[in-house]
Amino acid sequence: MLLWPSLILVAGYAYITVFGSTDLDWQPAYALTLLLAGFWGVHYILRATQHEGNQYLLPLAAVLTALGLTFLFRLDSGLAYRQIIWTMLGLLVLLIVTLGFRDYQQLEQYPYLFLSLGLFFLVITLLLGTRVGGAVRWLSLGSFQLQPVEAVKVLMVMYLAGYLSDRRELLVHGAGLHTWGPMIAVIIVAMLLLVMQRDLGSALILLATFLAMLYLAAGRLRYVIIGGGLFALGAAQAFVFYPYLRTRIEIWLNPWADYYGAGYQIVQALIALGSGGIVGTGLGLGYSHLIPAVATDFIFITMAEEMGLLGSLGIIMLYLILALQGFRIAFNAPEEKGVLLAGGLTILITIQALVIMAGVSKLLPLTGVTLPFISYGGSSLIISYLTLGFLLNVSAAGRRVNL
Amino acid sequence: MKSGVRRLAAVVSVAFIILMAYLTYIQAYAGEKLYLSPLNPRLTLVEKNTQRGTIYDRAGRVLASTTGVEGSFRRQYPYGAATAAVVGYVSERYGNSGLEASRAGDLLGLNGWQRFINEGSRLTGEIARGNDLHLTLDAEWQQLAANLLAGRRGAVVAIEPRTGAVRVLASSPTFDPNYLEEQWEEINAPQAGSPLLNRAVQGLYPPGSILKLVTAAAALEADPGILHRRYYCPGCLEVEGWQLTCPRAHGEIDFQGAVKQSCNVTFASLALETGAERFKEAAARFGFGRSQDFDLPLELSQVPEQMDANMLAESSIGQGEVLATPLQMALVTAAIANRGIMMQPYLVAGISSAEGQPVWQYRFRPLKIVAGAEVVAALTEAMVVTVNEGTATAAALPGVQVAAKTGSAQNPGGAAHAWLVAFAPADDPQLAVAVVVENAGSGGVVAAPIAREIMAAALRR
Repeated sequence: MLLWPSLILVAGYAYITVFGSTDLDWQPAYALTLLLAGFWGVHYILRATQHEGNQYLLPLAAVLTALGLTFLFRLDSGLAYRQIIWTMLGLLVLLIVTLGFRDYQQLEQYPYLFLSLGLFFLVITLLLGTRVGGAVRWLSLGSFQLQPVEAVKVLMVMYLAGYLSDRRELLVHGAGLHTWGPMIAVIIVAMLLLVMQRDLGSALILLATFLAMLYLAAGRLRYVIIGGGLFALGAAQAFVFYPYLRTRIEIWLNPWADYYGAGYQIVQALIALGSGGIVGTGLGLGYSHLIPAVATDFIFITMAEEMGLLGSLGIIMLYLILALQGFRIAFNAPEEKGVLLAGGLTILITIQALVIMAGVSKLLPLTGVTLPFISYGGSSLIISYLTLGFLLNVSAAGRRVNL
Repeated sequence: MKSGVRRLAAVVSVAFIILMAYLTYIQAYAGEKLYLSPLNPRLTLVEKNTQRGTIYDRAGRVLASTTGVEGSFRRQYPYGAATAAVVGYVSERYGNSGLEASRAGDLLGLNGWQRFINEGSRLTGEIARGNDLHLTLDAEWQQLAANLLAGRRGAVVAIEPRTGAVRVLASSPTFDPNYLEEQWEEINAPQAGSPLLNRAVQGLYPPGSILKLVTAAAALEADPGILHRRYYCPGCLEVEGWQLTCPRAHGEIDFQGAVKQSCNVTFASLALETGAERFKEAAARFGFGRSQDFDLPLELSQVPEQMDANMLAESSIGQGEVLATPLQMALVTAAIANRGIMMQPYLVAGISSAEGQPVWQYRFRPLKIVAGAEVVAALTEAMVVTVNEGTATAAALPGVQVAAKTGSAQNPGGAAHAWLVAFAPADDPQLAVAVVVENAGSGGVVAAPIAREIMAAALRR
């Protein structure tokens, strides 16, 4: 199945050699070889070490990354070059997770470690972070920039998986303040920190993931409804106190009202979507490179313009397959921790894909998050492969039990 | 727990399917409209390598054509400033307006399959060429209207009542689209009087006494008996402490006399009798407050939503918060001329390909019925009397019976806006005209001769 991403990479390479600028200071041929070797290498290493993980995950991620790389190259070859390095690092992280931490149950014995790490990251981002376009999301280490929030989301899922599975019995029976208290407090603090960083997208994704995991653990829809209701109250409060939130909503409802100002990005995105039509303009023939953040949050727009509706539906279906495989892993997991971890991570990654794809196409209000496996960005890509590694580990455990 | 996973998977799947359905809508269904948005920078590229189609008037006279070779196309407008309000302009620097903007999809050959055929011909090295537009406009009458308006601010709209075909749509001051970029500074100078504003469709004026046609229709629908009643005008009417006056006391007067003399007191009393609800309903039937399809962007004509007696009296004579575009008043007149049936107004009669093959043909269609036959007959009769012995004698034509109504609309900007709406011949209307000249005083003196000249030109055929 890795054949497909390989074909995309080779086709992308062919595109580069035919149309690309020749004055690159790096060799696409080496990069191609490196990537192919990387994906196939990981595949064979997993097989050689008898890692019985899900067979679809790696090819799916590889297809998404290969598509992402092709479009990144078309937008900015320099970004593609760096993204190739990030991909290799991501694959390395995947190997470390799948080979070194195969027993996720052992990891899940330290939920408070993940929690502390997560909150620590959030606090130092807020204290030392760099402000980019109103949001404090970046942590600078020399010339190096990190987006710790990507890691925070995964750490919170790991914490919740451990915490919820330990107290599941209590939660099912209602339980008291001492069970609910710490968890709710943690979620509220994390969300507040994210809102203070103006990372509303991540705050929302975190909340949705929390509610989904709570539902998995307690099996009570009531909790989810109460949680959602409380959130709506909080959102209404925030709406009153943060004027920029109101602008966001106004832009969402009618971006055309201020198309040269705040609505520009979304109006141009919609026009790009419309211009792509059903079959698309063809790779490199679109005109979406004018949209701000096109390589990161808005990359889906470029893909949808140049591959058309067929391409955009294809990408959405790839994420849907990824989601269904993730849920299958959760379903087959041998015990609660596995169900919660796999379920939580699957929700995390697919909700994020959904939120940004719906955001750039004006189905939902736009919140800036990355498209997992595709958007340019080291933090996002590496954490996506880390998530993939954990999913593979849970699936391997499930396979062993079921055999 | 396992069933929970199943349900979550179902919820996520549904969310993805909604996203897919939505994207299908955006990319496949709404796609073409989004693509043709004037904000789309891609169109500038298409513009560079496509020869825009030609725009013809109804007799095949060229209103806009493109010459030159790929890379250095030049758009020419033989009638220049006269047709600018309709045709608009194309500028790489300042964007598009008029039909050049609203029909860019046709003129650039971007609608439907044409877009792909043109893509194909570009690949084979041919110059892609857009479709031609055939308008309902008559270039000569349009030129005449432009000449008559020259030096004043105002607009003229003329419509064929039976079909809704727009024959004249002129706005003054205007600009020459042939030299738009060179003259951009002058055009936008404060003393130029906004030549880029198309007053015919976007100028909102108090309609003054020509709105009495709508008031009369409302009153007649409510009670046909008023035709035979007599009224008394002492020269003023007090409504809740507010005074409404006539230029002089008309004394004893009947319905026809009230139209002929344009008696404010009688019409205000009629409106108060009829009531605000019926008045608003009639205005809505005539198109006030209703958005409408048209090839040029329209401002919405309006009557107030909430009216006390005071405001109703004011509104009934076209003052206060009542505002109308010249196109709207032309439509009102054309509807009366067409036995109470308002036709959908249109500018583009047909589209043909570069090879001359018809691509699309407009079929005229009724918009709505605005008043009953007896009401329309009474209004026509009153308008005829107005021309023969009332305020609109200056609109009369030898040998042809004209029907008309004048208006002199008070406004905060200075002297009254001069209005006239007319149609002719009264028994077989061929053309309905609305004329407004800003701050020019009496409609019967200033606007009537303009309307007369245009009707004369139209009926001379």
